[in-house]
Amino acid sequence: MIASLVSSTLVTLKLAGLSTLLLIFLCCIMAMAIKPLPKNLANIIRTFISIPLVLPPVVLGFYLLLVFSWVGQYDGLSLAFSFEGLVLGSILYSLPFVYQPIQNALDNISRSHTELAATMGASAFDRFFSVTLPLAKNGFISAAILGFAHTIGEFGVVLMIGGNIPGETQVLSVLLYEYVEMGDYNSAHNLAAILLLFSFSLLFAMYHFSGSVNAISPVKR
Amino acid sequence: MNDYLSVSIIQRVNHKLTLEADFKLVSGDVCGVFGESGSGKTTLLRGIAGLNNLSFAKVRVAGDVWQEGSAIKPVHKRHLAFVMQDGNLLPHLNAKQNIEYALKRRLDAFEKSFWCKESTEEIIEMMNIEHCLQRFPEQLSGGEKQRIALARALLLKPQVMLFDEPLSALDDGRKNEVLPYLKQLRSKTEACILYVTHSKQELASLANKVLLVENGKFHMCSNVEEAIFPASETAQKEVYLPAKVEAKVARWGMQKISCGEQELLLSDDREPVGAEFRLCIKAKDVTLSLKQQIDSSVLNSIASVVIDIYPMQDGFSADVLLETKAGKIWASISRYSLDRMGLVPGLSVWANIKAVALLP
Repeated sequence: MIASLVSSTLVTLKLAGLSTLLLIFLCCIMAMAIKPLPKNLANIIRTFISIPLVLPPVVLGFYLLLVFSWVGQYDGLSLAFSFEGLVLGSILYSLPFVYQPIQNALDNISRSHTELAATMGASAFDRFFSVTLPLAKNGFISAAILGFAHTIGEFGVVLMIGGNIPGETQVLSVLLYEYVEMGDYNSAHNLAAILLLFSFSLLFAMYHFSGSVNAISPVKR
Repeated sequence: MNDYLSVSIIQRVNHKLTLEADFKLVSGDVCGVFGESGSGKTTLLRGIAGLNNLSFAKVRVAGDVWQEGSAIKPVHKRHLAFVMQDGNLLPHLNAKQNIEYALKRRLDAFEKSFWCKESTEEIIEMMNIEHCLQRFPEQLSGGEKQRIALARALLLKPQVMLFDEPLSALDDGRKNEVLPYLKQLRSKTEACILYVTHSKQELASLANKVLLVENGKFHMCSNVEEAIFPASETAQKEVYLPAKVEAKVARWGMQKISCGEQELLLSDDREPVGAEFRLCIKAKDVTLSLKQQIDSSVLNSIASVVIDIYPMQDGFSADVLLETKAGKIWASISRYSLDRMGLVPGLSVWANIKAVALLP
């Protein structure tokens, strides 16, 4: 039990860490790219980004599986039932949870601050790192915590596209499911308690940093 | 002296406002920008800074093109300091870091030793901000924040300083706290300064030129006095002069007041000897005579010289600007008297002051 628990924990942390890191970069770029677009176009893109909030994860997994097999036909790349495929799935699945806090934080930065920095001699690139990022810091922390926590709780998508390969795609939530299926309630109890405690600490940390739930509320208009 | 800053703009900003400006300043000029709200003052400043894109503007500084046609220097490459009403400090940096933020980017070789230089310490001391350098903006008062922004502007030694009502967010007490520091600006910098304000007091004490603006049209006046009290305006001209109670004449209930080098006799208002206040002398309370009035009831008949004569638009009156030992004062007289007395600039006359108001 311990061996599979350790390997699953490692897979889970690796998956959540890698997805979160990629998501932070991706969402930051997307939020800045979407900002200047016409309102309607921006709203369409934001809707797509938010779909995973309401779509059953199994549906997302199902479509991903179709896309993976279609891609596999052409260049023989097999993303289904691989760790890389899981990372891709997690990115889509956790996208709104990372995107929203980042967008809120960037929107809340007053233009007067960046203009002030410009009059003090900072170029656009310089301003992003010396003004925008520091002022949006709490938003980025919330985004990272939410993205990480949400990826750890991923189940439907993993089951559809990752299967249950120990050391490769077997994450904690799938392991828990397996324990229950096998009737190993003792291990299931322990694992469930660990996951509960873990989720609690992560969210507590988020409240500690951002001080509010605004991070996941819809965009202010 | 050569032109230092030259600006030429004709541009429609929106359906209500078209900016028209064409002026030149020399190094060391402090140019007040004076006019109603919404007349384009801030737009002009932001245009010069490059924050608003005025694509038809021509801006040159010390021979360097800041903006002309397609040649546009980005904001961060324009060597300027911009001090606005508020929000002049980045909230995530403390006061010292805020100053360093600009210094690091503007000065070629900025080092920590900069802070130990005598010239730096002098400015820090002048602005009286030593005690708040380690504090963050949210821990500073409005006056302290503005003084830090002003100190930063001075330390940068920019080519152009743009001030957009730097004192207007402050209450009167704070204004008086910052104003003396601003007065020292001219002596401390070679930059030319554009200073937007609504206050005639600030204009009179700071500026040596005034850019008057009406509905987006800018008009340069090199006579500040004339700009503040335009000759074409029939409004009452009045001057404020600093004065001090010198002695009491108890027998007559009078007091002797010194105003500049002039002594005046006024009725005693129970101010203590030594008290300082301002005298308000209105143009309509001053009459002129060619001889000293010793045989009339007028208390104060003082020697003066005609500086300038401004005929009024009504066609029958004129305002006369006089130089006296007390300072410049105005007299409002009829054209008939002007003609009869043969007043011309340079003529010595006696100004008879019928009434003055004492202001604390």
